[in-house]
Amino acid sequence: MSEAAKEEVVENLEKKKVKIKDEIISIGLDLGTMHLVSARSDQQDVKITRNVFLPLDESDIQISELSDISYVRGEDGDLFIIGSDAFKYANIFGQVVSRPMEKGLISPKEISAIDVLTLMIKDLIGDVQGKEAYCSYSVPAQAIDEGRSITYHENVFARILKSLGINYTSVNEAMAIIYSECAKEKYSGIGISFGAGMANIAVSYKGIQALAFSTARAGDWIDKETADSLGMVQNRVTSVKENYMQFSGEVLIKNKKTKRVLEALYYYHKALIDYTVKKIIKEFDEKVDVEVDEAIPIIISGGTSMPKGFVEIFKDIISGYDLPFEVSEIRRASNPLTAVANGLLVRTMSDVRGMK
Amino acid sequence: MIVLKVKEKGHLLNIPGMIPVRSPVEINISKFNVDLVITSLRKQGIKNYEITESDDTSDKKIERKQPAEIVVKEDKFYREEINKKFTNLENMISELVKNRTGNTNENKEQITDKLDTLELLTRHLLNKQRDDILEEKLSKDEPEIEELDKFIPKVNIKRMELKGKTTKTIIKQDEVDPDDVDLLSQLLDKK
Repeated sequence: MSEAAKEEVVENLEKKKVKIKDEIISIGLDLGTMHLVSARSDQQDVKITRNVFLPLDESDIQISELSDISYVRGEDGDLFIIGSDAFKYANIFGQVVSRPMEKGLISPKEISAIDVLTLMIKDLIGDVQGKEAYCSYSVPAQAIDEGRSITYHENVFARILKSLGINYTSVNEAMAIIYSECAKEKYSGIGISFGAGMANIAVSYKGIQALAFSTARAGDWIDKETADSLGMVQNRVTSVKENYMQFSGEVLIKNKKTKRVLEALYYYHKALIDYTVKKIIKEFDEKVDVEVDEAIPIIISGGTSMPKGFVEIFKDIISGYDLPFEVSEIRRASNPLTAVANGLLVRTMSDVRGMK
Repeated sequence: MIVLKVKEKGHLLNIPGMIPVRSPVEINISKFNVDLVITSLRKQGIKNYEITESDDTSDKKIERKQPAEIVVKEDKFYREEINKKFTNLENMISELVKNRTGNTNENKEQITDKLDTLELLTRHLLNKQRDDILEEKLSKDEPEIEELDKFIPKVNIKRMELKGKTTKTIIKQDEVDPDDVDLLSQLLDKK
């Protein structure tokens, strides 16, 4: 074969490779109680939307008023404002937003809203037409302190992705944190996701899940307990937490009531961390058979871990316990809001590579 | 007439085709598919309910779930088994002591060794039995996936459309390092 012919063959092969690369899209989809997050292999943008919607009747509002917001319109005149705008309009109409998920799982009260959720996911993932799309979506581990099964939840989202023409597989949420943050430790570590509905924990040894469990105590639990203690509405506590909560640095709040809320929030954050650490020790002692002979990192992630100083409080609390494993480092995920989606993307890409 | 009774307070019963009601409640479900009603109750985590079919003369129980009663039965069974094993263990020790006359150190050591072995054996047996009971209980509680699949609502977005300006937050992120993907792929392949 002549040099020119060889070059032509190589060129064609390269073109073919590029074509294959373009046709296959890997997706990581984090399905959280508070946020839906999507990451794609062909984009550097990670997209986040609030996992809430507000059902309205067409007679409640002029369509022209909705030009700047995202909404779903049904054939029978039903309107659903989706994402963060749902909160704004809920205040205007004096209504409560609908949350498709509750305590980390699909809510039994909102089963009828699966179509709306499907459109929210479709919008978040973006266009996949004409491409072969593979998606890993997050699922929590079975909770050790609550009896709800994850089977139904897992199957509902499988059906949603199937209806969108996307190949899917479910991946444990806390393992996704390891996939995102522990490449330098060869995917060994403990991933903890403090979300809104659940705290998810996974112990990974060289990429293999050695233990995974969840607890039903997380951000919503903190808000509820704080609200109950102070006789307040939970939404108000959530708002104070999201706007002002921090564990380190100067507190600039002067309003006495807000200060009182922050003080209660501080106690409940500590109680949540203490509870989670105790459960990690107990579950590790009872269930981990793998001999972990090297020090492993603990990675903290999830929306509830966002306040400044959260990791320091975690370090302080865990230092008071005798752990059944050696810890090399306790660090925050590079971005606690996107770590799970990013880890799921890494996992999907790795699975796709394995298929080739 | 088929009647559903939920005595426990605080549940919001949401059965397809029926107006949502709060428990405690007693409803006529004659017009509904009983299996669908049971599945809806399961989905909502309601375990303590009673469904009865009655005619003019008598009441016929279709299905009744009383988790408390199951637990009592399991506890009783478990306790009986423990007692049986303790009695066996006691007899074996007596036999051993009878056969080993004298009080030498060697005999003491042998008896202690035997007791340790028996204790370990008993513990192992009891743990296994508890695991079997738990496994059986879990497999009974957990519906089959195929069974669940029938009741997962079909997704139909053909009659709906997404409109307006999107309200997503966008965060720029570095591209995934292909070496990290390779490493994970290799590790998972080893599994």
